[in-house]
Amino acid sequence: MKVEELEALEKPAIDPGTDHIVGPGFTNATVTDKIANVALRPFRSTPMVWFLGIGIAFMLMQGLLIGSAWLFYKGVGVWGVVIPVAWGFAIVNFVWWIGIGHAGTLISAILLLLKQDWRTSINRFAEAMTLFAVAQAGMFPILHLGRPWLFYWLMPYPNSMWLWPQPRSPLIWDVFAVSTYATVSLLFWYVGLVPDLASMRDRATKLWQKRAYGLFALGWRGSTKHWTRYQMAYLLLAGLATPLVISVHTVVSFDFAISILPGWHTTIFPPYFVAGAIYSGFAMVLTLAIPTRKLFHLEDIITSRHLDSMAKVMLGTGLIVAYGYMMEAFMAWYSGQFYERFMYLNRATGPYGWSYLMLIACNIAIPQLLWLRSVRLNVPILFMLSLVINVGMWLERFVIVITSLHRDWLPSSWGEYHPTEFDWMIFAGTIGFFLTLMFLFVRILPAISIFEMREVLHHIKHRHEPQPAPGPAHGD
Amino acid sequence: MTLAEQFKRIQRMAAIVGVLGLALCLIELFVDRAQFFQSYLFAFIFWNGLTVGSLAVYLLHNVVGGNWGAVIRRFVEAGARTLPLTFVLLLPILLFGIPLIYSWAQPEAAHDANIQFKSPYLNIPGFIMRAVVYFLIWGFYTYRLTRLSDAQDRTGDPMIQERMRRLSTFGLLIFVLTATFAFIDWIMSLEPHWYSTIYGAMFLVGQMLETLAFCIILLVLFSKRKPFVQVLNYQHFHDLGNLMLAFTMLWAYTSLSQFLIIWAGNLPEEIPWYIRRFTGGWGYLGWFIGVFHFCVPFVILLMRFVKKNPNLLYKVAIYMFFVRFIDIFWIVEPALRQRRFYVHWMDIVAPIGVGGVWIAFFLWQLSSRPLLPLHDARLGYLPLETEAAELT
Repeated sequence: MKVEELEALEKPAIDPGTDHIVGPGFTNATVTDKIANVALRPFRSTPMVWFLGIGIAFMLMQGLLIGSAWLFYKGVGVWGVVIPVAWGFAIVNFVWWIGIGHAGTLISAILLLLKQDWRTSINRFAEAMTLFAVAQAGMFPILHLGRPWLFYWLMPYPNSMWLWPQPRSPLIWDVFAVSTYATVSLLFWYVGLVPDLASMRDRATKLWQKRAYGLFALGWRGSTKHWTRYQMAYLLLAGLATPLVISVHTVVSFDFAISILPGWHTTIFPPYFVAGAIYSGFAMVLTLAIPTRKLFHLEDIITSRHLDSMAKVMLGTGLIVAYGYMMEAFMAWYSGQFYERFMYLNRATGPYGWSYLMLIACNIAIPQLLWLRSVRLNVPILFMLSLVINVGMWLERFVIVITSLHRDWLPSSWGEYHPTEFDWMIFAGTIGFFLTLMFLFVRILPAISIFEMREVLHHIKHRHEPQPAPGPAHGD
Repeated sequence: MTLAEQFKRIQRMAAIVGVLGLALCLIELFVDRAQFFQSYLFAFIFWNGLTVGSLAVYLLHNVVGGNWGAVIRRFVEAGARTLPLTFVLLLPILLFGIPLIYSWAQPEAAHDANIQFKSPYLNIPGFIMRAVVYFLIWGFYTYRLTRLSDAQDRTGDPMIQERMRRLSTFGLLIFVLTATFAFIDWIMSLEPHWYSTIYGAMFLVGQMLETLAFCIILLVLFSKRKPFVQVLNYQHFHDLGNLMLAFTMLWAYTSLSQFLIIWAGNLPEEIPWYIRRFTGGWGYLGWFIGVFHFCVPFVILLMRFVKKNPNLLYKVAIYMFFVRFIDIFWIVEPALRQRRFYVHWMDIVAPIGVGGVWIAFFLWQLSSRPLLPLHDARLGYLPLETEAAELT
């Protein structure tokens, strides 16, 4: 790489504002340069912050290794789970992580079908996030099994004991929903990467880089035939992924709602879980995208238009979540059922009342700031808000799982739940694992879809061609 | 015959049918007053569904935008502007019907601890007051927005669309809340022991589906006429078809969620709602709805050529409108006919009567303004004043 190219990498980029999905002056070549060079730059010119970040993330990840090793050795007793709260952090974290994944699929599949052009520069990124988040989520139920080495018993396979999983249990539906989701997400992400991997292969200067990218580019040459088949495959995968966004979290909500426990058994759960998943997912995309665009000077590719749109999606889904809370509270009273009412009062004022109050603050009250355009365009505040919402959505699952279980009907069977250091260690470990994977991803692979950005540039160029000077509708 | 004359003729016919139908219903008032109000409530819920659904689609489109909504904007505006009529139609229930159909307002309820507990919410003055508040709020948004829309026709000021969007964002929020409680009041409280947190969302989705089907029917009927013929292309139908598909799926999603959760829980306070709707003959209707309100239209609407062909889409929309009618019947009536399934002659005549009046009022509202907005950039073609105002 030449010296001037290296210098160009360090040049700060200017955010073109909310009217543009890409900065001015980009051509096909420069946009390719800009994105590919983030990954292809020499090892020594990696920003120091990146080393710092991955170092911390990698250290956090050790918590997962140590915690789960001890868990395998001693059993689930090292966690705080004890009857009546048999579902502790493991399920809270499972639902949280899987929810985070949903934004990726929503951005890449549903927004593709809805022809939203602002998805382009964040979809690759969000898909990677999905994949890594689902990987974290998938670990928890297995760790929670007690005898994780028998996890394959969850699959229906012919066996000599003639034992089959209980098909009426939503936990079994979960096995299928999550594994399908993981498979389709992986395929979707990888298929989208293929043309870009070929670009990387062609641009790489070192032989080993060429070979590595070339291996995964599957011999892509960009012929017309390749592109037509590619587009068909991508559209079909988008179609397949769309129902999965809804179905996975619906099934997760059934894990709770199918039971008869007050606080779990309520009909609003499926749509409200899906909305909550998208809410937390968009918060996580913002949490990751804002530092990345700063670190690699991508402000003219991930513009404030993207941040603004994502903030609006968060506001909308957050309001659906608020609607869910409100209906739950109203129906707890309206039902006239003693236990429903008690559950709600206990949730708000019982031993875990603090978590409920924090939940309302983080998920409902503070995010109302997003109504203000000035807040949506203020990047540091938006970043803080995304963190608040991440915390809020984690608390939501905590509230649902713990407060519903710890006091059900008979006071003699009540109990309390206290997470142990291993609960925290494994939770923090998955965050570390997730961030490590994200750091590696932005450094090794094109974090923004190169060819789709070129497509966007093409559309912008030709949209303005036939109508010179004061056309009626500019931008989009 | 010009379009204006045709309008007048249909309007007159609808009014005559409506008044005759309602007059016929009055006979029942002297035979069995409870039966009268049962069927009348059903008719009201169905047609008021178009009014409420129109306002919902209108607010939603103002917020999210899209070309599909620009072509049906005047339909949903006129639909929402039937609010004064539906309020008048609700008055008989508010003034005379409550103790006849709502068991919580009957003297036996005094001995029911559960109903007594919710009496701060379920009581006659509260019911009436809330209904008035819902209509006032809906009316405020309807008239504020349609007046802005008129101003846009007159001045062509591009900022008006932005103002409508801002007003609608908060409006949508308030609307969803008020509509939820309206459905709880009017329909859910027919079975005062029963409750379901998804109910408001489920019912609202159904009403919006009904409205979309209605708008597609109208759009196809108008599609060969000026000014629509200059504006419409297959993409509009494709988008609207997709929306109808999406709402069919959303309806199925919310309905199935409620069913599955209540069925699996099998709790004595929840399951009676479904027992009533799956026994004594009602079950046939329930299965019919499952198959013909979801499976069949889902498969049909998945196919692209159906959505791009206005004539086929027209047939599907009429079909959807019809199955919505059956679904609302299945939701409303078993609450009042707990023993067995039957269709009273009033169940047919009352919706025809109310519908006739509603259509006449709707057409009056529709014809009093240009059929397409004059300065909506999303149309891609700005209709001339003369074309769009042909009717006025």
